[in-house]
Amino acid sequence: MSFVNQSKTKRLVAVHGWSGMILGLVLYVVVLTGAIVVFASEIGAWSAGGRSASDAFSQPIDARFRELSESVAPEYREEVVAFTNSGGDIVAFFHTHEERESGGIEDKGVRFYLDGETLEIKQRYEGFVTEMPTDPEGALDDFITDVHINLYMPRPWGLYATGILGIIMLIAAISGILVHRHILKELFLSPRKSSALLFRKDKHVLAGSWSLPFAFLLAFTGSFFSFATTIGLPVVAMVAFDGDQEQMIETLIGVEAEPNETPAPLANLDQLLAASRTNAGTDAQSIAIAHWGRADAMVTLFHPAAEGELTGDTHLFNGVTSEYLGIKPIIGSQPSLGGAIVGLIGPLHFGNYAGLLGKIVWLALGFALCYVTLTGLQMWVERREEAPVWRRIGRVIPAVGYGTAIGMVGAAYAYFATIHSTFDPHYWVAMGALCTFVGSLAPAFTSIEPAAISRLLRRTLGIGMVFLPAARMISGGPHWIDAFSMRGWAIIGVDLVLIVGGAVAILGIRRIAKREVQLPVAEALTS
Amino acid sequence: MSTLVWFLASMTVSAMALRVLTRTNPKRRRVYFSDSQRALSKGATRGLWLALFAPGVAMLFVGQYTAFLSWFGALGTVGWLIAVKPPKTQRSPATGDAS
Repeated sequence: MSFVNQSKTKRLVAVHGWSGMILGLVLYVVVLTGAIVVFASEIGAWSAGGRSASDAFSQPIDARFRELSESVAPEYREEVVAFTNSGGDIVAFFHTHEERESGGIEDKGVRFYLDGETLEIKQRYEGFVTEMPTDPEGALDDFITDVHINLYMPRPWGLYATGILGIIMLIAAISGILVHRHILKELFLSPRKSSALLFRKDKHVLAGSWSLPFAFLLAFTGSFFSFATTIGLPVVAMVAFDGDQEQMIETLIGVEAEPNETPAPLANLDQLLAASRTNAGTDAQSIAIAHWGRADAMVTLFHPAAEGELTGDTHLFNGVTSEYLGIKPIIGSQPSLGGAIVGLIGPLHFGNYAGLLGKIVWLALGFALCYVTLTGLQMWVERREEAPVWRRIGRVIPAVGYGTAIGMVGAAYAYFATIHSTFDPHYWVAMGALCTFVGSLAPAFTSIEPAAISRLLRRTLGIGMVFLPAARMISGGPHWIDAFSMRGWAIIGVDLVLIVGGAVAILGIRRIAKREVQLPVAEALTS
Repeated sequence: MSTLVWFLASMTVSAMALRVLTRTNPKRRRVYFSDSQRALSKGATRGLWLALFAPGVAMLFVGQYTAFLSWFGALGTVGWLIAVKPPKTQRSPATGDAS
């Protein structure tokens, strides 16, 4: 299938190659961390040694929440949010919104950490939200998520950066279709081994062709998330609402009910949770209570998608009479096509629509896109390897390829080394990732040949993965029998994936080395 | 559970269609001088493409959207994994001997 003539193809190859080359390695980091972060909740539960966070609100919580409510200052009952953290504990934040001396309004109140099973108070912090210590248990999954969303940069700069990378990915996908003139004819063509360059080109084209729909999908939805709040909403406010942000918020979120400060007891939370469970088909994953103890109290329950559904729902209840007020649309106060489309963007990007099945498929697609990115970069560099600068870049590609994964493993070791110490796990997880990543880049600046760099880093990654479960247990994490008894399936699952994945990485080195020997032989025979 | 059942059933049908489409693909056979599988008629090839995508249409028709999305995603990975493997029997371009 030919879309453009040959002279235009040449220019498009340049667009495709250079757009990928300039930001390709950073794009690879975002895509790889994105593939891993699909399992963020499982990684969080694994690292924190907790049980599944999904069933924390399936138990009675009403009595405990009333005790907590009585123990805080009345103004902190203005708003309560409760959710589960990585360790399966419930985090309940009773707060109000207060102006700071330095300017700006911020949440201020009391945050409780409750044991996910016994509901005993494990921690209690009071003050402005930015002054409270961050939850140490979520340090590892928070870090990987932050690298994917913000490249570990402050907002909004990180979001701009990842949004631009999403656009680069879209450009590469579109130019890729136009460049490859025989995309359908070569859809089933196994990489030809007549030359190393052709072999690499075929590998890139084949993987790229099969993952093309998802390159579009993930790039578009990712860019949407990056730009929706940083650029999209301000532009909408300016264009559609003539700069009136309040009117925009009322239109997008809905008009708030008239305030009624008359004292009134809050409805039974357990009954609301049970009613909401019946409506939604799943247990609530978070709760928001507005105006606790007032006649205008409102309870909002957020549910993940039920079996066979793509999106979860937000159910609204009158906080005094327990009256069911219906499902809160994502945009506005009435269901709309725009709201339905926006609602779909989340599951399409995160793959969190069908439990483990959707996540496994999205992980595989993420790895496929990583493969496409790296093989494309390698091909581009090999075509220019006469120039020393391209040869040097060619050595950096496998170093970044394996180094990013090694960095994530390094972050996990740092997490286990600091989680039960006085050190801040959030800081040391980032440092662990940075040090191991930079260390992985070091061989690229020596005289070691690129194939040997790949083997060395692959072995390092494999060994690091295989011993990670042991590090987790040595740091005080539950052993498999304990994990089994506490239904900590994520702990056992991630441990097994690490051991098997690490072993495959190590054992695969010989096979790759054998293929590298075969290719030059084939090249010599055909020349 | 029905999502998984729909996914597995549809993936089985589509993977089988993909396998035959791969083995009988004209360019692949030409490049690898592979004669282990005969070329298919246009009608048979169309039928295989139909079999490849029919499970997806069926899932959309009955409202199995989550199974559809999983199937569509997996199709990309499975198609790649099937196509990337070279044919087992290849003839040498010079001698015509099978290897």
